[in-house]
Amino acid sequence: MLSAPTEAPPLLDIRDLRVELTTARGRWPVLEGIDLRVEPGETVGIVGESGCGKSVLSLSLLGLLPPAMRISEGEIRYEAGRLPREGEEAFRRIRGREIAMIFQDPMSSLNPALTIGEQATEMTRLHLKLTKREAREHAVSLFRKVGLPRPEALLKEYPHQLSGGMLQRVMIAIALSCAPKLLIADEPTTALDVTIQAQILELLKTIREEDGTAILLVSHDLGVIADMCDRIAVMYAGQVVEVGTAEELFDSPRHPYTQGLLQAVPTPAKKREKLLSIPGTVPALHERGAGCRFHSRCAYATERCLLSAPPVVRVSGAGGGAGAGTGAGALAATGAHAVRCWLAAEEGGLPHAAG
Amino acid sequence: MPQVECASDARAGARADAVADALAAAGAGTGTGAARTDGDAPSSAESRSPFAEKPQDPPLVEIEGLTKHYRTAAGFGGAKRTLRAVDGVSLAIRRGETLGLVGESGCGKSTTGQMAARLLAPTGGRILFRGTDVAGLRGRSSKELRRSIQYVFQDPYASLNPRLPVSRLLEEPLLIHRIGDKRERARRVEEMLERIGLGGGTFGNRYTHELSGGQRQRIGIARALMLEPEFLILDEPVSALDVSVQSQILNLLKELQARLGLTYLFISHDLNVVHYMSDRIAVMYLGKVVELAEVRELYEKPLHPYTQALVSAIPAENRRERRERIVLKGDIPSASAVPSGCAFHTRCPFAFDRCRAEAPVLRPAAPHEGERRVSCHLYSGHH
Repeated sequence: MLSAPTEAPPLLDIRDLRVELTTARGRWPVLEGIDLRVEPGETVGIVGESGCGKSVLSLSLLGLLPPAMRISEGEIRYEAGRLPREGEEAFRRIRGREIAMIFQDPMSSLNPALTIGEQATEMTRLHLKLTKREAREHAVSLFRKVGLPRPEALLKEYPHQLSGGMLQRVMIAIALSCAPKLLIADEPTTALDVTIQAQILELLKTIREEDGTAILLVSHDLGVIADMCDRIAVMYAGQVVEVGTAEELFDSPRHPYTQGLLQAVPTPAKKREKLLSIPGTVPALHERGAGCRFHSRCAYATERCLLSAPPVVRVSGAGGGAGAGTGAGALAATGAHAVRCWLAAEEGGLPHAAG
Repeated sequence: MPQVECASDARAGARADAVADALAAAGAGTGTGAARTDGDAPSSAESRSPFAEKPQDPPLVEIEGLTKHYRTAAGFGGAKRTLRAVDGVSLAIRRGETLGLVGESGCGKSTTGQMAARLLAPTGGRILFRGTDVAGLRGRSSKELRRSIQYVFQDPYASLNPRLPVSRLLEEPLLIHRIGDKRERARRVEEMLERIGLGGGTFGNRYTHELSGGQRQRIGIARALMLEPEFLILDEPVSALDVSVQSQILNLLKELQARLGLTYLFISHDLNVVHYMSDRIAVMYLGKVVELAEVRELYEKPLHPYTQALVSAIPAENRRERRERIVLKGDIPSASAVPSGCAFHTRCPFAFDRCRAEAPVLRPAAPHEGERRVSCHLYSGHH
């Protein structure tokens, strides 16, 4: 785990990111005011339910947004350099080489008409200018590393001949082939069985320890997130509503949504209790009002929550500076436990300086 | 109803209330409704007896040596092979309990559930419902049985007709079984919407695409309950739902069970969800039950190496409670090429010679283990 903020710039620095969706009926913000940092070697989790924007966020980092969506505000910095907002050419140098990505469903991420070998060597030949033979040898060594059986024979096989767990290992091997500094894993184990999920999570931990690869792990599964991550950002309706270390979030969650999520998970300890459920549903894009986006489902909501957007409040942590302040940095500051909620603002963030 | 501490008493009380409700409803209903209740009288009286976890009570459902084999073509000119989807499953499900069925994809848990609901014909073994072999039932008694056993699917979006409004979806089972007149059916639909927490509004007029995932699954459950079944097979009912919605459905299922005295076969791959819902759990691997135990026993002291790995792989939310994870080697073998001996031996960290040669049998883990069953040579020293 990362101890203190370092002098060096963060590996990934997302600042006040806004992504808009254009439809026939107008433009809607899918993501708004996203601030998030990933330090070198750190594992950061993004957790949220379907439709919260977590996948859009991960796609926006690599210029993979669908045509109807675009980054309209904010910036993404990678090793202090600014990532382009769009443009195929600009991203091509970064994708796979600096930042690699694995997806939920390995079956649909691989081309069924090409052999595993063709797909596993494409990127190293392109980025690292390896010869065909070198690329194959490199692929075989990576297949070994991720624990794939009979790596040489695998090169000649097609995706349909492999199981889901093996395909996900292939995807991870491909993602690692240019030794990226950041691996974005979007629901990497959701399509897999429990025992296979355990294998993949162990593999990701090994990669992190051996290669020092930073991981941005996107998942709806609180268990997976708790197990893997140093820091966690909770997303709701296109915003980060709480960010903190794994301990802070699981032991003392401050946002009512985070609290609700944790209480809704059936764990053995809750066997005899009625589970808490969050009433209502996530507001659709056109239903997001001016106030807190969670207010319609929140047990503590007041009129203020309905009318005006809550500030981001730092509730603890080593971020330095004062408590309240919207957007800009408060949620991103490394080591800070921060929450986007009027309630926390009232109870006073840390320190109480904000009047 | 008096406040009682004991869980089993509370359950019996709830059931007695539900029976009274049902009788009242039948009295107010039509001839068919009343006839059905009369026909059911013996079993209603029986269910009035305090429910206790007594093994000597006759089980509601008995599954004996159930198999489902498929003959598959091996492709270009190859010999035909047998895919053993379910390979000799025996289970007894007691009235009012929830039996959890867990396992990974392809282990045969859904196939078992579908056979129990008579949606699939078994290739071997038998299923007894209230002591009667369901395979022999034809005509009227077969239709009766279908009313008593209902199935809830994982994806309500795929299992509900998108071109029918909710009220019609709920009315359909009543129409098929010719229950009530138009007014009576409308009343029952409204009552059911109320019961599942979607009453008093315009939900009856909506179509499934206008509902959220959680609302759709409520309709899926409501449709299964329209015929007042005794036994519900729930096949991954919350797997497609977000956590906050999932808990609503789990709460609803528990509440309905307590009020209506339902018996559940709860199929899931999610061990936290199964733990929350079940009284006992059967763990399946490649078409066979490898362990059967009370929930607490199974989670606190899993016996079968596969169960041990499964339980250790539950991602613990509480970092301090985290256990050492057992990571199994390799993949789940295909059901059309089940390994010799114990099907689990290819991945088992404790496998020895006997495991490769001889298939273990599901039997009591130890002389005094009560009902606990495990299928593993590691525990066969006691016999």
